[in-house]
Amino acid sequence: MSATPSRPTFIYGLWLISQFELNRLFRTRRGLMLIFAFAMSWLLLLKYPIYQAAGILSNPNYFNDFFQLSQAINLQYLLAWPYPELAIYWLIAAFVFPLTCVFFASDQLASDHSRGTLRFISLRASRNQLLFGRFLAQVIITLSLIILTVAAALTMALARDPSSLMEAAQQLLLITTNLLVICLPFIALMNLFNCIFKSSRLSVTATVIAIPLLSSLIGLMTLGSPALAQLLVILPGQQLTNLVQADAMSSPYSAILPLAQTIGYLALAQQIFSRRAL
Amino acid sequence: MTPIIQCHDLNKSYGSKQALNQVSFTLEQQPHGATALVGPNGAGKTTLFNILANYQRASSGQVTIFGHAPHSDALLGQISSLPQDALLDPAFTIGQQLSFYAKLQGYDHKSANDETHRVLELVNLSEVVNQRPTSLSHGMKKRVAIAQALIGTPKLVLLDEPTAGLDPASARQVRSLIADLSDQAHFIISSHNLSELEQLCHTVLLLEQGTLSQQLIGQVNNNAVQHISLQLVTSSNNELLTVLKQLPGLLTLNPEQKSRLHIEYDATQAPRFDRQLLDCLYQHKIEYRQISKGKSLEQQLFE
Repeated sequence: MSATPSRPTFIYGLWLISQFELNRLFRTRRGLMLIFAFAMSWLLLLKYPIYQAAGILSNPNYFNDFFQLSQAINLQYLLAWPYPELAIYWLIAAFVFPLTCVFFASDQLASDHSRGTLRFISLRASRNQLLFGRFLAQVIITLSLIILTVAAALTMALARDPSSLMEAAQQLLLITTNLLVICLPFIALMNLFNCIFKSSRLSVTATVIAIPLLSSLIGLMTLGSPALAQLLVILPGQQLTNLVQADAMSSPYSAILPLAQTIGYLALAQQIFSRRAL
Repeated sequence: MTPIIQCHDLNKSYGSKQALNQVSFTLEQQPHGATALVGPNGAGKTTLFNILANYQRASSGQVTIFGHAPHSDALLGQISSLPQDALLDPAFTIGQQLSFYAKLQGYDHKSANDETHRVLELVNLSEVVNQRPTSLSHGMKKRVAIAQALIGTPKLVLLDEPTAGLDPASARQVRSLIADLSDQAHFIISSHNLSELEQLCHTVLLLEQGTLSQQLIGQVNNNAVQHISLQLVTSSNNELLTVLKQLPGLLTLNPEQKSRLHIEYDATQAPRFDRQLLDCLYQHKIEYRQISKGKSLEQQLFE
């Protein structure tokens, strides 16, 4: 056997695991096909709903109508944005990206677990490195996808009016940061479900069923005791409607709930994964 | 010196089924080490392997490896394993995955690639480095899995059925590899091939129904009663048995199979019994295939 190298630090081991997962998406045929499908979906979203809606919004003849409508649904802050493309993009992405995350992050551990590949990795990396390394990879992937789509929306906006780029810079940063924060608990929830279920499909199914089911259940319970509405904080995405409607994007308080949910899900995942048979 | 493994009252149950029951043993450091883990199907061998490799936790009891609990980070890279039924990721090539494992053990990019080539060379599979696991046969996959267990400098290598499903030449190569490397790492081998374990292992742990029933340590038998196994070319017959029974010092002569005899003799009465036996075979022109002194592992375990 060869000379003994020194064991990598926790952070470097975690990064190696993340890097391998990034290669899975960006350097394998299946991963590239997934990105292609994602890009095509967003191309359609950008070309039809976003481009068309932005065209109507930027028309001064309809401004008063839109102003009244946006006031009614608490979206008037979006009318102040220099590019309506970014405003429509934000409204759509805030609800589409969590769903995208559920699918992209659905196989953080499940396939490797059912195949037994985790047994090879766990001899060289701690379970915490494995769990958090896979989570970190999904966060980087999500951030890349957000940047990709934001850049596409901006390109579309600049094609119409290149003069307000500097004014849009703040919105670009806010959109990117907020979308990532919105997605974090969904990625962490998939990480948790991957520690419970041996299949990515089951993890997706559980998410799709559990969130609305628990939400309805808590809703019913509040009929008896309104204080139980507080339980909704355990579900990801609860802050979404308020965040989009109330121009809370620039408030750091809007990040508290999703960040707390992320930490909660990851802590639970860590407890389960550290005891789980591989 | 810290023992390699110390198990004390180890229990593991799956629901109502008790897979391991109060298993206790100590495996001391040995200069040339390989330990056999034997037992019938369902005896708990794989469960014990899984606990040692930290794939699962014991229900109760204590286990330490080189003084650390199995889930301790201090053991990362120190223990390697060939798990049963574990497969590599079909999305990546063999080289990419082994190189990744080497990096996790502390190798830089270049030395990880060198290490990958070295371990694949050990199992005679250098040519598969750029292939995906799905393109390999069962035996090749197994040899690649053995190669991953040899990355770096593990101190303890757990091999669950390392030669099961391999062709005879590959199985021989794996045995030879284990024999060559057993002075650098301690191997624990689970197998149903007792003659293979006999060749490689110094210590034997026998698990039966989750209970450790025997721990045999290889040692020279200095007792007066000695044993010889004689494998003949042809089947034994009454005439041959009569001839052999006349040998001085012979205590018992048991035909185990048609062509295999187990001889028990008194070494104090006949210190050169083995030589007399050979002379007898020569004089009576009896062709033999193999003579081995001492009880075989099979005889030790099951008689």
